[in-house]
Amino acid sequence: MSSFSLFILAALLIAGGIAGFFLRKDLLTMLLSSEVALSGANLLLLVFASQASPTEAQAAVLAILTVAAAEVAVALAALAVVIREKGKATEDIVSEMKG
Amino acid sequence: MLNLAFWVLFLIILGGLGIFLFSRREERSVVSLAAVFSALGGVFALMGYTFLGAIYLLIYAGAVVVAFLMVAWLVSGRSQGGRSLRWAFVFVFLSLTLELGLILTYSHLTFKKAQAPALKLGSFFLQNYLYVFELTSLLILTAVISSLVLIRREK
Repeated sequence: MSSFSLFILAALLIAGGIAGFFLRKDLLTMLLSSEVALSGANLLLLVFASQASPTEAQAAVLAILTVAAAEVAVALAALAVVIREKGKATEDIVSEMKG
Repeated sequence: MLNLAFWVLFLIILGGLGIFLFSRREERSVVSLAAVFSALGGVFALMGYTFLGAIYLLIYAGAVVVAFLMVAWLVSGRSQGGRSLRWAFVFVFLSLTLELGLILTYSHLTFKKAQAPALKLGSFFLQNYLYVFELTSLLILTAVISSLVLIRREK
């Protein structure tokens, strides 16, 4: 398991997340795609920091993970409200929303 | 052995990402991402970050994915998925449990109290980033309250 293969894995995750965000139309999958890209960024951070300061990198990843979990809680609640009001949650419905 | 485990996890992540990107059903995408996140937790453990790997498994593959799955069921209007999805869910759950067990066994076998990852991380956080730590807990509390306010039905 070399650093290069970990870079490739992180790049795949980030690319997969970005592709999912732009290719899919439903908000749930778009939100999931952002989580995938964030996981790739976390992996990249750990790979970069593994030689210099692993404890600091772990602390940063743990903080990012906590903030991401909080973000997911709010985003899913907002998504549930959109589904309740409109019946589905797609990109077009949200771009129509005002106020 | 570690190399082989890494490449197996790499293939699981690749396969899960493929299913996630090309599947039309939301539930299938979410279940495939459970596999991706749990395999990523395994990769973290293989890199030596066993505590982070276990946390990734518990929070991401456990809590976050289940929350997403509930919303996916809400979107699709079905109370549960088809038979194939149920088997996929059982498979992901069993592999997740197995992986968590392997991580815990590995960290138990290589455990040295002075270098315990959770101990080091906890001391590091509380000695250097106490205010950030407290702010994060405040953020979680705000997120919980705001999601409850958002989801509340107005009478």
